[in-house]
Amino acid sequence: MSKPFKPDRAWLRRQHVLPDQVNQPWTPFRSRYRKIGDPIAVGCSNTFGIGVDMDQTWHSLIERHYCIAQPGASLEAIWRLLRYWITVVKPPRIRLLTPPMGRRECFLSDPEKDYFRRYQAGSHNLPEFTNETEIQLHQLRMLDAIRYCVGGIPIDIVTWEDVAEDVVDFGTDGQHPGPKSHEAIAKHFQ
Amino acid sequence: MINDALKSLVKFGSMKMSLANPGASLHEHVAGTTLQHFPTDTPKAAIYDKDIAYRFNAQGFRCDNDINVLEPHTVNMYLGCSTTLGTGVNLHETWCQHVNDRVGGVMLNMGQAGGAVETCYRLAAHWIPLVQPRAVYMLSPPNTRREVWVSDNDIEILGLGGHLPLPNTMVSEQEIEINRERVTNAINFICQTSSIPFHYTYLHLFDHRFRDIGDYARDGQHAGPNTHKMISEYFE
Repeated sequence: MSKPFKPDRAWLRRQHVLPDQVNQPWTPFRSRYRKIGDPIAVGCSNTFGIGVDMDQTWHSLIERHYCIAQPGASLEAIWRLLRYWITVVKPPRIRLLTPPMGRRECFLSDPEKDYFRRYQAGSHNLPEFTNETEIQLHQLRMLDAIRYCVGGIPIDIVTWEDVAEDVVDFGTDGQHPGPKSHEAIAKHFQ
Repeated sequence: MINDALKSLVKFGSMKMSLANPGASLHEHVAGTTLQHFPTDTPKAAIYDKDIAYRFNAQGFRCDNDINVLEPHTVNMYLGCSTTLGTGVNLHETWCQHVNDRVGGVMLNMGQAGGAVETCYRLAAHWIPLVQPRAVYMLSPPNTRREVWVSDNDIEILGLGGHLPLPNTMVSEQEIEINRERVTNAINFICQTSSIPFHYTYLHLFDHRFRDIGDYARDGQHAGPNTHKMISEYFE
């Protein structure tokens, strides 16, 4: 007996429960001595510490953190991870170094591929989101969303645009901030 | 009075560069006018005869008062799309008016025909510090829409009823739902920082009992007067 016809109205449905992938990082967290109850450090590859040792990262220079940074992260990814991981880590404080503000994240919902795709505004994938006003408004909107989702937990936010000029050396990859730059970034949080 | 505040330069949050006009209504082009038909509610689309007046204030919102004469802490702000604007019905028949009749105060309808949840955020971020409403009510626009600034002065709506379709990277159901949640979080934060109650309802008219009662607005597409009354009950 054939199944009764049911029109595909997925795009109209109300989605109450998002899949667990929404809460998960795409790269394992880099945090050697992390503990539940530590402050959370979050950001992109600059916070992850690409090209420097973990002890040389800006957040390690301040104090030990539970670092949930992800290389290539956008503010959407940070909002997405924070809303879940603050319930796990229960941090007394959060420190956020924002990613370059042009980044976007999209959930492709394709189990055969990566769930999340990270795009740079201006790339051929997202030509609609290249205007400076749109990029700045997006950053403002996402920072408001992040500050809402962390609730009463104190959050220190430093933008990449504020610290970019303090990058005076490079990590081993020749692209990301080096040890001296991380020291300078750490000062922005104090 | 907020006249002085309106005259001063509006610094938009913590941004280093101010936007051209972040509080612009999508209907700025009809500001200060009264129309009998607006936008999808055309004479050709009408499924029944009815007298409807679309009065737009000086800022381009369907509101009887200009924003610069409103007293702080007297206003209820209503955010949403064409359903909130009241396409195809009179202003006194909208869900906003029903809610406002119940809670008292001055109604500021900021509904935007074709508006997205990003539109609601933009208007909230700009106008809440100026208007200082006593409460904000929002009926979620269709999630399959996004507002994008394509230049410093031009906005485009992507998706349902918009200028362009949504990009392929933004059409998954999860992406649509995640976007709605994060932008709503941002609006909630704006209200929270000003200690303003934020009342939010997310209804899928297509999946709901509204679909079955056959109560349509004059344009045959939007919610009719009885449906507006039912929507207002979700804000109790």
